[in-house]
Amino acid sequence: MFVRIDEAESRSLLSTLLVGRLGCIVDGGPYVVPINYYFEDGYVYSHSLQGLKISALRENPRACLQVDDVESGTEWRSVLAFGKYEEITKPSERSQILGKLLQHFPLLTPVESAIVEDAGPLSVIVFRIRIERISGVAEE
Amino acid sequence: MLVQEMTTQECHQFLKQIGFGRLGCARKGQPYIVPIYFASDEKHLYCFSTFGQKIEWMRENPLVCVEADEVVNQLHWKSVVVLGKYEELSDGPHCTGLREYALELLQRRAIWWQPAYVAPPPKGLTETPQPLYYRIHINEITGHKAIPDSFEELGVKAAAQVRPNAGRPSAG
Repeated sequence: MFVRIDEAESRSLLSTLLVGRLGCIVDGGPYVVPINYYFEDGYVYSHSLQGLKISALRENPRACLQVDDVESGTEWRSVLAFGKYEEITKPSERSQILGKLLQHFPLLTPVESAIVEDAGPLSVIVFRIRIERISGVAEE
Repeated sequence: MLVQEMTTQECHQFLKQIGFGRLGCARKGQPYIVPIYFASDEKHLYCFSTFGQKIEWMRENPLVCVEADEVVNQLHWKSVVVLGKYEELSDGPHCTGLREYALELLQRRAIWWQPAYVAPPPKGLTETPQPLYYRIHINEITGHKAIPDSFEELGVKAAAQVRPNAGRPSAG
């Protein structure tokens, strides 16, 4: 049976998972890619190299992040969060966020680890999405 | 970690094998994502749904994106992205053959049966679910796969054996 997941539980699922699918708009259509992220104080934090999703989000900052916990075809939870893309450019903030990303993702490659040391060259984009709306559906 | 582009053939093979992904739609400049099961051939992804928000949105804007992935860990994953167009397989007689084909493909998958219309309507949802077949015409298909290099592979194994958070920088 399907049930709605309320906002508190949706936020809680978002904070326990580390991989989600980021949606943005490219040429009037959707574009979806998987990302590693962490959720803190109402913001989803992530980083990326320059590419299609970054140029798309710079043009239209409306984004969504979908996360799910799928046990089977009849037992799953899916949460969809909507928000606005913001790029972090201040070196001290970038360094702090990259440090936290490394804590959450200890397998980040040596290249990315090295980036944390010197607060990162600007080619690595650090961004966050302020979650404005969130809801979920579960089947149990 | 070595990230490689997957060939078109590898992408199709992966979609057939995994049959599960996330469907992105766009409405008035706002993206929207839901998980879906599908069956695929080289040209289309076939899906089964009940009438709901995503169908409404795809009718309005048929441009869609399906992303399917398999994540072993951060260094070892595959991800395929399909950009395509929504096509509804309507109840009319001209779509009968296609609906039968979709059903046949979907039935080969163990999971497809989850016919939402058999289940009671979701609590708090007002619309009465209606069964509906649709397909996504594949306009573009791309994929990437990441494989840990041998040095990282050793590191991952060592980290898994020693402690789960090995490699994490010290807090101070």
